Amino acid sequence: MSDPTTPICGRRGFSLGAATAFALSAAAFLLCASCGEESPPGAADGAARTLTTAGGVEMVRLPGGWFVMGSDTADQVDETPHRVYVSPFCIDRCEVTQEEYERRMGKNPSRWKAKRHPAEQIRWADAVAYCNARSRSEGLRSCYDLRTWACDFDADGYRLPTEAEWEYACRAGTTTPYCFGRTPAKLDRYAWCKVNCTTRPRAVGLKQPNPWGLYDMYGNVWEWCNDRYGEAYYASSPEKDPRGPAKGQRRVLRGGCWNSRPAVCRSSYRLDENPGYTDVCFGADTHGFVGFRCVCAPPIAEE
Amino acid sequence: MPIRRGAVLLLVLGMVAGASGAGPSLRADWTMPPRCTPFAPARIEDLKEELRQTGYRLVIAIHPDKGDADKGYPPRDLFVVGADGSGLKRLTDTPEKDERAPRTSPDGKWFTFNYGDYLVNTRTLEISDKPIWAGYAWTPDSKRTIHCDKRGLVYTDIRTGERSAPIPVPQRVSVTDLSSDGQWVIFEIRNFRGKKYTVDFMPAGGGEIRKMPNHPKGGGECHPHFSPDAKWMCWNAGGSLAVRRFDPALPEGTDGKIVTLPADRLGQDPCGRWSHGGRYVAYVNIPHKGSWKVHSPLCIVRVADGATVTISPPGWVGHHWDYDWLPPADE
Repeated sequence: MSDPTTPICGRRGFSLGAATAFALSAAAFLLCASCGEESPPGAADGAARTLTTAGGVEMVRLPGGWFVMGSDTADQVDETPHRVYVSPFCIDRCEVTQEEYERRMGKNPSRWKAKRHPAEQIRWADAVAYCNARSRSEGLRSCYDLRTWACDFDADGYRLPTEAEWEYACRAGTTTPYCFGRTPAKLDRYAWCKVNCTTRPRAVGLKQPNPWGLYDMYGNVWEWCNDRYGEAYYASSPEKDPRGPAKGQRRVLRGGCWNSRPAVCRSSYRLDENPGYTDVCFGADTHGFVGFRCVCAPPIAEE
Repeated sequence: MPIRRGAVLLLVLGMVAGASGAGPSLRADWTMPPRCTPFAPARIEDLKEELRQTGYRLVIAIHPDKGDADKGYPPRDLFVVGADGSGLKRLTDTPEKDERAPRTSPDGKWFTFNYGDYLVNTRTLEISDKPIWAGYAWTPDSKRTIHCDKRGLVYTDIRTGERSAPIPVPQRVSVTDLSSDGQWVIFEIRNFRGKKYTVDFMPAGGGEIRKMPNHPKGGGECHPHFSPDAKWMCWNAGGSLAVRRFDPALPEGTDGKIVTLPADRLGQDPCGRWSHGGRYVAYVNIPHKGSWKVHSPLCIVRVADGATVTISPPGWVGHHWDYDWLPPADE
């Protein structure tokens, strides 16, 4: 992981590992945006850059781009492939750790206690409360109204990724079911999941990252997205920055977890769950499934 | 009176035979279809001896040592042990991998572990080379498993790994068992009709979820398991092991009568697995509510009289449903 460096820009207080490259990628993005060209899948590869927030959390700044969201997996009716454009954003390089969660929230609900392990047994409501707390701690405007759960996408604080943002980040410019290929043969290198017969979540960042430097996008813990779940939503979702159905109780989980089989740890696999979910008793020996990571708008100097 | 004299004679002969150990064999036969008699009287007062004579074995997944409770336990390994606690045999020795949740097929020829990921021959105890990624509960023909995927009930062929199209369900459930006629799945479910955890059932071919009456004690109810003939079920009813009849022809799926085995003897939160003949239920004895940081031994209770025995070695830590019954070994 990169070392923190001097903050360089904007309201957010990011620091940057490779400032020049970052500026170049930002310029490239602005150029592309201004001319209205679409970046083909994979075109953003190499443009992702690691930042460190004022709070000391590593994030990866991703350029905007088009990609094909979903898949043609035969037994999944909710993955209808469709083209989507995602605006630039920053995403946590790793799942939110227990140490980081406890620092903001003053408690750690995880079953498997360890500082560098992902926070787990996290309800959707817990995750968005953390987002707000993290925003406040850095002087940013909170994204969530905790009474209505509405998300203000114009706020400069932290929030959960939209489902499109999550899949875009996970694919990292790839078009195959896994970011490393068509089959799960290499999944063991990238994920803590059933192929390892692991017993619990593991410390974040131990496996190989995806092409954009994001760790544990497959396995370890499921990651909450901001979106409500809609099985048929892909058929009617907007092309640009889809934000999920307006109504619905259940929220989207992505990425699979340490107890997931390979078919679930795919870039496009979708799961829905009650936002109050943390575990079920039947899986008493297997709870500690659900965590999250945050996103935010890119630093102001880039926009 | 000749009839009375004859009865006395038979009684005396029976007592003599019992005392000499020359009575009818108690050795368990794994007949199909199964017939269960959970409340049949004890045949030998000493439960451990009765279990020894049945020849039943269990496959158990247990942490081989207590480890550091705050940091978690070392991964579980699989063992086979006689139902009387004798003949412990290690099946796996994988310090970096976790083997758990064994489930025996109805015909007793196989068991899966890790929620249907791997297959084991119960006679040879050979483990499949490759994962089968199957489901948790077996079908009556012992050829497929069933679990609830995100879109419904899915059957998986244990030989080919082929999955059926999902059968839609009103809401996702944790299927814990399938009845011996293949018609009903039973499960625990959260947030259903205002209850935190309840035990309910529905047709395996799809349909409405049918609400089963809650245990009068209240509290969470979980880990339902059909007796092998599906005439009975046991479950964790708010911290106690409870047994009731299962009859889907009745409006509520049961006649309402519940036998609650005493938590002060069995321990907290016993989640049971029936023996093939239904006389015994295996469970983990948790001494303190909600805590996994203490020794939780594997025990067996005889349903008829509540007699219990502990069969796991001292100091080992077991979990809910990390055990299931196996047929007697070949002689």
